[in-house]
Amino acid sequence: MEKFRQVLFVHLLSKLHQDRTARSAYHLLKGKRSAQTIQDARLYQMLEYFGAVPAWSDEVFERDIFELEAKNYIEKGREEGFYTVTPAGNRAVQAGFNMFPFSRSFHGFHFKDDAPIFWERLQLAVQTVSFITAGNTSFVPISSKFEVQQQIRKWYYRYDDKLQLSRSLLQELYTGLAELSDKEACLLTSQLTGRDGVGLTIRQLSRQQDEEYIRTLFWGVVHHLTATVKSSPEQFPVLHALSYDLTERSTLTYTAQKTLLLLEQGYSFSDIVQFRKLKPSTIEDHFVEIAGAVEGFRFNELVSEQVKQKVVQVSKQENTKRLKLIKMSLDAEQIEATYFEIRLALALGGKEEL
Amino acid sequence: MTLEEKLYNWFGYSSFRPGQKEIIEEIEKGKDVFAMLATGGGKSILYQLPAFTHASGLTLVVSPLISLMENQVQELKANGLKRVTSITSTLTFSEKQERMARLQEWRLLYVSPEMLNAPTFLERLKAQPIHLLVVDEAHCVSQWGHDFRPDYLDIGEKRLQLGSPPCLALTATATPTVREDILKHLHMDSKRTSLFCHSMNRPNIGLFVEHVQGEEDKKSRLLDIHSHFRGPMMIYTMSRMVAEELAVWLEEQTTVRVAAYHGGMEAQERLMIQQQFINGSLDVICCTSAFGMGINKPDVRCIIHYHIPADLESFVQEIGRAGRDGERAASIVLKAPYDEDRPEGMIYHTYPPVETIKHLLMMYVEDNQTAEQLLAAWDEEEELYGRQIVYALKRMGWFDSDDQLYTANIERMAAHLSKWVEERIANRLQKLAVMKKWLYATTCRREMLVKEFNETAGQNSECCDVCGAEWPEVAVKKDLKVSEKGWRDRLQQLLGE
Repeated sequence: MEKFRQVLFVHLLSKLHQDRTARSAYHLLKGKRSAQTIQDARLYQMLEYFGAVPAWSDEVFERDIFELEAKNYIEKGREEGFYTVTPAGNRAVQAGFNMFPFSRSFHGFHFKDDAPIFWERLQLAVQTVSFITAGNTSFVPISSKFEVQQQIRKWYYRYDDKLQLSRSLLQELYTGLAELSDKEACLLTSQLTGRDGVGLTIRQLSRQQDEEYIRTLFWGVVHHLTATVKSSPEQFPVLHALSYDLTERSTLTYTAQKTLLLLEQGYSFSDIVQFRKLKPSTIEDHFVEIAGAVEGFRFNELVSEQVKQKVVQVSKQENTKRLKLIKMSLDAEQIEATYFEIRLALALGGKEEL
Repeated sequence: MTLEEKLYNWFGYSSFRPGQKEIIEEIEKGKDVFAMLATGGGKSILYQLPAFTHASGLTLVVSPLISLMENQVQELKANGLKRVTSITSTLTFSEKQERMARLQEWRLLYVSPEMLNAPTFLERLKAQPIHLLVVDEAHCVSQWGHDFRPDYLDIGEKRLQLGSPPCLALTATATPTVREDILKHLHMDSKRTSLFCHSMNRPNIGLFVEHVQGEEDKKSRLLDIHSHFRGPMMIYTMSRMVAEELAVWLEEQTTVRVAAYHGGMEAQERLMIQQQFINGSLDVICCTSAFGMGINKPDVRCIIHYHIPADLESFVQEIGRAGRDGERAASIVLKAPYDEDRPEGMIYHTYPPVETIKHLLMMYVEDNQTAEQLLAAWDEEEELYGRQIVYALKRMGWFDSDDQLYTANIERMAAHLSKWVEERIANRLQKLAVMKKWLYATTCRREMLVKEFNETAGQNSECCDVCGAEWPEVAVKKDLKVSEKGWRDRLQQLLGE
């Protein structure tokens, strides 16, 4: 496979064991913020790949499927939209990851929203310090966002000793990037703009290489920096001041967070349906999300211990997370369970595995 | 203080460029002004100077180009003029609120035309004394112009609602018909408006058209042009994809530093490419018409049209980006057989086909609907057509003074709209025909070009290929190459002492 996104896609497809459609792998790599996609990412332990190929279009995806099929890397599955990975496909994935080693620090799910904000601030911070220490106080800011400009202005004025600020910033960037490969660190520094010139764009840095791959590598660098700063703020006071307000995104969709708030206040399922004036099925989705992401909820009034255990057991035995298959197994043993119960049980069980 | 002193104190320029002072004087008198200035003729200072030096009141600038407005705001702020901002649809809700709340603080406010349609915003504006309303790229008002924008149609109406403040209409290219249309739509009294029409003719830009056989020929000519000029160049194409392909190809073939630029790229990436080009770390830009507006790079030596433009007005605007330093420069059009099919296809594509019009009307139009409701009805795919349809209906008087639809007579509306579309297409094809005529000219190209704009040519240091002119010789610049530094060195250069 010549394309990085195809390698990722086929890799994910094989991790999904034909439980999900090809499109769900696509949504995951695009970083679609839907309950289902987030649920899949968590259930199949693919959170780090979330949003790794954000610019993938439907059209290109269709072409990719066609191409992968023609090369016999994937085959149509039993049902419409399902694909299996052929042995040739699995070998190609291996070879693909040799050519495109997946960034060790990239974690789409944790950092997808925060990293771009941190990066935009960092660029403007470096530009500001770089220009002003060189005696140049008028420059066109590299971020045109008013909010970012305000933040950096505040950040800059917090430091009385500007020389010390530039020394610290330099030192912290040295330290923060030191653990990465030179190639990775270069991806970040080459994009910075300052007194010695305008930075290069990712496209320019990619040149003849796979741009989507270079992008993931680069965001991996930002993720690394974010995580490093966060884990030892005392070592990175200047960078921490640029990022302290960026908490790791709550793993819940916004609407599920609202439901969680009610749930924590002790409201029941039907209370919440009434209260929020949403369809029961929507609230069910929220519950499943919460079950998979938030500690401390067992939902005993909604699903019995027996069903919980059985679902986890069947899912392991059959190596599947497909609701239909699990339900069939439960039916065979005459254990009654709704799809909602099975989903809850899977989400609760999946969390324990992690 | 004289105007010159003000100019120096506020902007640091010691003198006006030709024409600027007269226009500002008229503005200071509170008159309506129509000004057609060559691209790069220093349009923005015309309202920036009065905006900051006038005793009170807000100068409101309507411009269709969001990135251009943002650039100008940044530039002014970088020069210490802080009481300026822009409000556009790209801002978040809270950003808009924040800027609106400080309305009385701003001396200069840039807005995109659709913002004027937001009732809350308009109400707030009404509470402000408006010193001057500036309509930038005013030709967008006219459906006979090359860049008609439906959003612009309402500006005249909004001007009345704001208490008819003095109006400054600015454009780089407008034929006499378009000019009349602009005055009419902005409610500018043609007898009382001061007209300033500077020549669009740029004597230092040589005009060349090369008839080539096809894509391969074009590319090999590109290499010739590159090795002749060696200076900053812009290559205009009609397609984002071609722009990108050309950039990659040139990078492979030459040592030139080249990048693509088009509307499909992210804002920050565009900003970086633009800055690189301006400060000389890129030599060549392969771009669509999205590039160039408001970019003031004095030393562009050559503008190449890899695809032919759809009309002379766009063409003139684009080549006007060459040679702003007054040094010799060139415009080169590479024309292969059947090249005109591309703009022709695009013209047909811009407007909804007759069946689509009827279908869309049947789906969405109801009695007593307001224009706003109708505008909101289209889904994403239909939006482009939808907006055109609503504005065309508005223009043709289907809405009453409360902005409500008189009657939803689908048959008549469809017939009316179809006629409108036909006219629009015919008009654009007519413009394309003129463009084609110019490309195949056997007499002086410059004479022909200026005649289209009702001017005469005068003395030109560079003429055209028909007159036997050669590509101008320019001082040879050596190619620079980005040095591949280690990341530690790069950080040291950025932040070290």
